Amino acid sequence: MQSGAKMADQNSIICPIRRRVISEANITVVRKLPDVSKIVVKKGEKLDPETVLAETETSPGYRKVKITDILGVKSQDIAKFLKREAGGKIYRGEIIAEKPGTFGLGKKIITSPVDGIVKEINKDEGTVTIEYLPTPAKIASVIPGEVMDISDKSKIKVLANVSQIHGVLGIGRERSGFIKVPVKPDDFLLPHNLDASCQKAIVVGGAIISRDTLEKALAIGVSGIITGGIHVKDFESVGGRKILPINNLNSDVGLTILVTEGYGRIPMGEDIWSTLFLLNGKLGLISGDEKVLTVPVENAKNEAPPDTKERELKVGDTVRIIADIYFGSVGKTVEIASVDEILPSGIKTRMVTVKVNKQNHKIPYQNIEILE
Amino acid sequence: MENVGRWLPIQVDPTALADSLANKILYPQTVPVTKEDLYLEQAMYIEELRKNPEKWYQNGKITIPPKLSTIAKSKGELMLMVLNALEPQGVVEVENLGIVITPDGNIQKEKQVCEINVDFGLTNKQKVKVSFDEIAIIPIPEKQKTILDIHCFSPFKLDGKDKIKLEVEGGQLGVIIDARGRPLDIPGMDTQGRKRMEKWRKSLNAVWSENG
Repeated sequence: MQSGAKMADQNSIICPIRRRVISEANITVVRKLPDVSKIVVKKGEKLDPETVLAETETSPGYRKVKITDILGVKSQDIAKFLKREAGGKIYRGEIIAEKPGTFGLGKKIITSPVDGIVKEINKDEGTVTIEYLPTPAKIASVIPGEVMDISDKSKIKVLANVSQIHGVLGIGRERSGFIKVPVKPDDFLLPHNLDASCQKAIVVGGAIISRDTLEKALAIGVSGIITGGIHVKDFESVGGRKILPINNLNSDVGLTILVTEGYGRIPMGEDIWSTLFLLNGKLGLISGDEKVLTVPVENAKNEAPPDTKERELKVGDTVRIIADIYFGSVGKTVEIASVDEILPSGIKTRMVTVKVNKQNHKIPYQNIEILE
Repeated sequence: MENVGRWLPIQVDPTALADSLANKILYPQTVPVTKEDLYLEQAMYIEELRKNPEKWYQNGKITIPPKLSTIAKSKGELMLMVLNALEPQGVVEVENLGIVITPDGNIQKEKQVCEINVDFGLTNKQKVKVSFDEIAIIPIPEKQKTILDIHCFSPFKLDGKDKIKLEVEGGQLGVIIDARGRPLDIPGMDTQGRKRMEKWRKSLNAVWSENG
């Protein structure tokens, strides 16, 4: 996690740096592979997009079936109606649960939507989780480059010409797809924005994506979604675990999600959206676990960014606001105060004036990060 | 999320609350700007302290967690957060602020918990009556020693007794009587819960003015 801003002395503020857009640079891309992989490339090897990096077994994810909602029963009673046990295999169409009707009427049956293994029966939530059956897979390079290092039996470092978008949150394993940008940065990504052409695509959203859009994306077979914001409850519903407190989720429901701004309805940063707009139609790799989208490019026009994590804030710096009502806004530093000010909350701190869309806002220095 | 929400003195949309909490976890270094931001920060820290309250007790005295002092706007607000987070029982001294007296017992209806005769050195003793779910301040000046003649009403007791005489010294807030019972019946996130929170804040002068 990023460290916060601090006062270096009475007159200078050290702020964390966020590099969220890397454009057409020659950098080292880290490919994190599933644990069961057998890596078949070697250090120094040149990679084409079709080069097989590793052989593995992947589970495309899991589905949670809400028994209580469908059968209309209490969560603690679901065991009475289940026809399966945890750990057993189940195939698409087979019965998971059944509730008899009365006098031959009103019988309800739930069948499995997928081939899989019954991973968990949760009597608190009233759900059954089915993990998709693992299938053998070959992991293609997708990104041309050169293998620089192989470590931990699951990480390959590749030197490549790429553009990257780094998010603040993500869920789901690495997937590839063609980028599609159907909405603007402050729009909602709605179910009608997704159609059959989005199958296996990486769809770029706007300010927020809702649960019903996520479900449609799963149903269509979308590979990944990039969104500015998402509500906690919707993020948890595709992650399958509680966010609060936040843990390393490392889970996959069959869809990879990358969130660029944070929780709630927050327009996607203009820098990110415009980069993605230019990459429309290109093939990319999205990883929720690593919180990054990587798109191979032909030539590197820019230098690789430096590794510095923080530096002194200066007037003229582009900054992003990371708290309160201006959360996610990007602007230029106009003034750095020389004395502390008392906020309405009673907190005493040094203020930074940031110009956002021609309007000046005073923001506590702890609530900004430098964008480079 | 619900646990944090119940400590807020204002009603908040649950979705917005969950998002705010999650963003605060994402960016823990940020500082609260508005009073609503501060309420959230206070509520989060109260929940954190409730996981391990024993850490702040030593020899019958409560040491105030340093972070709590930085996010309280008044001594009354600070004391309320200490009471909510650490739930002291019996007779406990809270560092600098004063003695807190919490009769043992619980009940789910309005009832008088105790009656206290306070000898302020005047002709007549002053009588303080405290009902269930109330917090009261006995305004004993700081460092002044006073005898409290406490009569608890069933099922409440103090130190296992119905009647007890205590010599206490006033702190910065005098002496506090916390008659909310133990374990504390924490307010829900509904309107009734917010009313109870507001009542407690008023009792300890922890309500902010319009100017903060």
